Amino acid sequence: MIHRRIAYVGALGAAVLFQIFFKGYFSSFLLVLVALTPVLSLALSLPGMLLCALELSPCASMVVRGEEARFQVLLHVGARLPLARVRLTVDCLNQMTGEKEALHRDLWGGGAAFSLTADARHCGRLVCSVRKAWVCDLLGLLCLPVRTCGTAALVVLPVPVDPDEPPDFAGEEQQGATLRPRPGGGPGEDYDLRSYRPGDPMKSVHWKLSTKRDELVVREVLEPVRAQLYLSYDHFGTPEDLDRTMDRLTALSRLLLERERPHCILWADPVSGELRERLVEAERGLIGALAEDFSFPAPLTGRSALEQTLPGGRNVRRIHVTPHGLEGGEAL
Amino acid sequence: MTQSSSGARRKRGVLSAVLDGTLLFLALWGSVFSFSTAFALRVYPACLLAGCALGAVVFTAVFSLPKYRWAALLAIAAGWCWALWQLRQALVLGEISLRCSVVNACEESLGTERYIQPIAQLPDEVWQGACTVLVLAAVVPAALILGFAIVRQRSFWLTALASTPFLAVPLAFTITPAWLPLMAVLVCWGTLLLSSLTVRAGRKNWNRMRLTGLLTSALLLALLTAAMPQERYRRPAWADRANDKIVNWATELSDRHFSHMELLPGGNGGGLLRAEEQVDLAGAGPLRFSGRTVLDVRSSDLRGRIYLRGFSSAVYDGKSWGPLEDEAYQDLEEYWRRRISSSSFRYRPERGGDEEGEEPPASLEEQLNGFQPINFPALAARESAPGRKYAKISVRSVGPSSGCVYFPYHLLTTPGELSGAEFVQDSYLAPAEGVETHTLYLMPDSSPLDGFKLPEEAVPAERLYYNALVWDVYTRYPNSADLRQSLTDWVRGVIDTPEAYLEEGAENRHYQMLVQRGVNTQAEWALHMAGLIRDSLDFLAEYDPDTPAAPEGEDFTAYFLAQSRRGYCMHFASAAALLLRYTGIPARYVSGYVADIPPSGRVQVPDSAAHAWVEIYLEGYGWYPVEVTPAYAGGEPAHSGAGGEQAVPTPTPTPTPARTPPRTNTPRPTAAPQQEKVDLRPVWSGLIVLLAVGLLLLRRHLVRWLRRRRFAGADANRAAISAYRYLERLVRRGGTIPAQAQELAEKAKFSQHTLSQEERDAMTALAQREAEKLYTAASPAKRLLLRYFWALY
Repeated sequence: MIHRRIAYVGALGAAVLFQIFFKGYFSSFLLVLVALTPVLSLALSLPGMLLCALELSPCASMVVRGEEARFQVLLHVGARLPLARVRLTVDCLNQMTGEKEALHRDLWGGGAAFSLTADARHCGRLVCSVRKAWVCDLLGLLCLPVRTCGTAALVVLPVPVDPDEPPDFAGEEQQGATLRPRPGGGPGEDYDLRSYRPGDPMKSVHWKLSTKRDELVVREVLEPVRAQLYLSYDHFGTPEDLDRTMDRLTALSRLLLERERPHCILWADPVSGELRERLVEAERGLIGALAEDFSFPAPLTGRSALEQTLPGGRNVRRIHVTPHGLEGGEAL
Repeated sequence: MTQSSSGARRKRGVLSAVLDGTLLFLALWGSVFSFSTAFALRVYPACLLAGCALGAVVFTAVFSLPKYRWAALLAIAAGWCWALWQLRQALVLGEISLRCSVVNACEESLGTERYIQPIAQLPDEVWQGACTVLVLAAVVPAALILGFAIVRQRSFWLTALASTPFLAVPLAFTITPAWLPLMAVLVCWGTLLLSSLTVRAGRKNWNRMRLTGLLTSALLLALLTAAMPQERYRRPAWADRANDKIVNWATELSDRHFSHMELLPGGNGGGLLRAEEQVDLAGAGPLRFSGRTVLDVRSSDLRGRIYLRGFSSAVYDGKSWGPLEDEAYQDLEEYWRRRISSSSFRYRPERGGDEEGEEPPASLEEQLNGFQPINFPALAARESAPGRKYAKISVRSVGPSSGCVYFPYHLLTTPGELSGAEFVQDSYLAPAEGVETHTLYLMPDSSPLDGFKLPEEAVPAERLYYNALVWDVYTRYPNSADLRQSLTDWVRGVIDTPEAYLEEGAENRHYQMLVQRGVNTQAEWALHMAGLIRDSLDFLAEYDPDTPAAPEGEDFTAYFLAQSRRGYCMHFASAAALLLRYTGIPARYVSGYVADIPPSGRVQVPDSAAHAWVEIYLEGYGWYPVEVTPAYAGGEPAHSGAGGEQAVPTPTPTPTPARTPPRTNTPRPTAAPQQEKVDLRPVWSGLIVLLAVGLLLLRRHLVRWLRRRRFAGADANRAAISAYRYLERLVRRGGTIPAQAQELAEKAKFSQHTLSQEERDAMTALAQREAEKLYTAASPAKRLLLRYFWALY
C-alpha cells in the first residue's frame, strides 16, 4: 500500500501545483476532488471494513506426518460491496517441536477463502493463528485491522510403522499373580462365591447353592491381575528423534491394544521431571494421549522418565521407547 | 494456496460488457469532446457522438472476444487504413481546419491574437465536414488504445495516460474544455480507480463495485459542481503568493544560469511598461501577468498603499504614449518667449539669471538652476512646513531592469544628492549601470491645498521656464477628428448634462465647485476638474481587465470614450490625461506600480501590480498625481504610505556605485553584475536519488514478473529448474533447499521424464515457501535488501 500512498501524495502535489499555476476554476475543482476522493473511497468501503471477519479452521483434525496439513482461512464480509484487499500474516506453530512458520497472503472480495499448507514434517500439534490482518479501503490508502476468530489446531500423528516386538508377556497369568473379579463376567475356570448384590445378572446366580443356603449366591468369575504396563519415552530431543520415538511408541501401543493389553503412556516433564501418564485402552485413547502430549513443548534436552520412580507399586512393567528401539519390559 | 474465483478476466458476462462499454464510451467521448470544445473545432457534434458510440461498442466487443481478437483488430486496422486512403483529400482539409482552430484558440488565450485563416476559400460546411472526418479518423486509434486499457488491462493508469493528452494540451494553454465531457472523463477515471483493487474479487463483486463507483463518482462530481459554482469562483490568495514565489525563484535561476538561453519571458504583462519609455496602446489587450516579483521595497517609515512612480509620457499619437524629444528640453527660454507673446499669458514673471549673448544651457536642470521638476512638490512641502518629517525608502529592482527607478511621491532627493541614478528630463529616474538598489527620501502626504509653495530660489525656474514648457507641451493632443470629437462630446456632456455623466448629477461636489461656486486658484481649478473627469469616467466606463485591444486604425482613447467605454487603468489614464489637456490643464500619463506595505515594512511587488494614472501640473507646486481608474477608487497617489511612522534621518546620499554614471540623457539598463551562484547540487542529488529509487522499484516489478512467467512457462522441467535456481539464489542469502526440491530439480534436469503439473506446482510452492521463510526470519534491513536490492521477494 506504500506505493499507493506515494502515488496519492504525488497526485495531491500535482493538483496543488496545478492550482498554483492554472488560474481557472478547474484547478480549484480538481484540487477539491483529489482531496475528497479518499473520503469517498472510505465512505464506500468502511462498512465492509468494519464488518469483515476472518475465520480459521483446520481442514482435518489430524494428519499423518508427511501428509499435507491444511488450514482454511475464510473471509466473511458483512456488507454488500466487496473488500479491496485483505492482507494477513498467519503463524503456524508446532507446539511440541517449537518450529514456527509464517505465511503472508492477500485476499480480495467477500466470501473469499484460501487454504494454506503448513509444515507437517514432524509430529506435533500445529496451531495456526492470524498474527496480523489488515483490510484496505478501495484506494489502498487506509488500513483497518480485521477481527479474527481464535486459533485452529491440527495434530500431526506419527507414521504407521511396523512395531518392534515387545517382550514376551506369555505365561504372565501363571506367575502366581493375584486374582480379581473379571468385569462383565464371562466364562472362566476361577471363580468366587458371594452373596447376591442388587444389579448382579441373574445368569450369574448359583441356583444350586442358593437353594441350599436360602439366599441368593452369585458365582463371580475371577481373572488374574496382570502387571501395570507403562510405555515411557523421553519428551525431549531433536524433532527427528521425537518422530522416530513417536512412531515406535504408536506402533507398540497399537500392537498392545490389538492384544487387548491396556497400558499407560508415560513421560516426564523435561524441566521439572514431573511424570505425566495417560491410560490407553483403545485407539481413541491413544490419539487423545498423543494430542495432549504433543501440545507440550519438547526441548532438545531434559529429564528422562527413566530417572523417575514409577507409580503402581511392585506390579508394574515398563517399556521405554527410544528413537532406536525398546528398552526394558521385565517385571519390576 | 487457492482463492475464490479470479475469473473476471476469463469470463465476461453481459453486465461486464455493458460496464466496459460505458466506461470506454465515457473516456472516448469525454476525451475527444474535451479537445474539440476546448479548441472550438468546427465539427458536426452529432456525427462525432455517433462515432464515439460506435467506437466504444466495436472495441468493447473486439476486446471481449475470447479468441481471434487479433484477427478482428487486424481487420479493423485494414479497414481504417483503406478509409484513410479513400478520404485523404478530406483529411488534408480537415488538418488545415483543425490547425487553424487550435492555433487561433491558443493565440486568443495567450492574448497575442495572431490569428490564422485557411487560404482556400471554401464553404463552412466543407471545412466542418473535413474536420469531422479527421477527428473521426483519430477516434479509431484512440478507441483502440482506450479499449485495450479499459477492457483488457482494466488499468486506471493506462487509461489516464491515454486520455490525459486530450485534456493536458488545452489546459496547458489555460483553456478549459467544456464541462460535460471533462466530467465524463473524470467519472471514468474515478470508476476505474475505485474498482482497481477489487478486480480479483470475482466477476460479480467487481461489477458491483464498478457500478457503484460509476454512480458515486458521477454523484460526487455533480455535487461538487453545484457546491462550487463557477460564477462565484475566486482564486485563492495562497495560490497567487505561491505562484509569485515559484516564478520569482525560477526567473532568478533562469537569469543567473540560463540568461543566454532566454528560457523565461519577461513580465511585461499586457503592455503596461516598456524599457524604451513607450507605452503601446494599440496592442493593449486582456491583462496577463507572469506573477514574478519586479521590486523589493523596504521602508520603516511608510505603511499602507504606495504608488511607485516609474516614468511619465508626454506625447500621445493615438496608438501610444511616448517621451518628449530631448531637443524639446534644450531651449526652455523659447517656451517662455512663446508664452509671453500669447494673449492667454497672465503672469509677467521676472527673469533671472539670463544674460544676453550667453548660449542656452543644455540640460533641463541646468536651465532650471539645478532644480528638478519632479522634486518641486517635496521642495514646496519642505519649504512651507520646515518641521515636517521626511521618509526613507529603499527600492531594489528584481530581475531584468525596466530602465527606471520606482519611487513613491514626493521625491525629496535632489539631483545633487542623488547617487546611482540620474533624472531623465522631467520624466523619470534612470538607474546607473550595475546599481539595483536605491535609497531615496520623500515628503509623503504633501498636498497643494495645504498652501505649500516652492522656495524662493526655485520660483524663477519654475515660473519662468518650466511653467512655459509645461503649458506648451503638456496641453497638446492630436488633432484627429475622432479624438477631438470624442473629447469635446465628453467635456461638453459633463458640463451641460451632468445628470448623464455623473452619478450625483449636478450635485457632484466637483461640478458644484467648478460651475457654480467658482474656484480661486489654478490648483483648485485643476484638482476639481480632475475629480470631475474621474467621476464621469467612473460613472460611464466599466473596468474590465479582459478588455480586448482596440480595433486596428481606431484612436485608442477616442474608441474608449465614444464606443467601448470599457477598459482598465491604461484606458482610464489615457482618457483622463487627454480630457484634462482638452480643458487646458497640463496633464501626463504615468506608469508605475501600486503596492501595499505591510506592518513588516517590506513588500515584494509583482508585475501584476503594474498601474497607470495621471499627473496634473499645479502652478507654484509641481506635478500632482491623480488616480482615475474606478477599480482603484479612493486611492491617493500623493499620500503614498502616509500611514507610517515618520523617521528623522540625516539626508545622506545613497551608496556610491562602482562607476560614476555617465551624463547621458537616457541611460539604458545593462546586465546584472556577477552574483553568487545558486548551489544546484542538492537539487541534482535529490533528482538522482528519486531516479534511483524509481529504477529500483521498476526493477523489482520486472524481476518478479519475469520470475512468475518462468515458473508458469509451458515447459514444466524448465519451470522446475528455474525454481531451483531461484532457491540457489536464496541459499546465498541464508535460505535452504528442501530435499524434495532437490529431488524434483534433479529429476527435471537429468531424467528423460517430463514433470507432471503437480510436481511442477510442488516445486514452485516449495520455492515460494522458502522465500517467505527467509523473508519472515530476516531483519527489517535485510527485508528491504531482499525486496528491492536483490529482488528475491
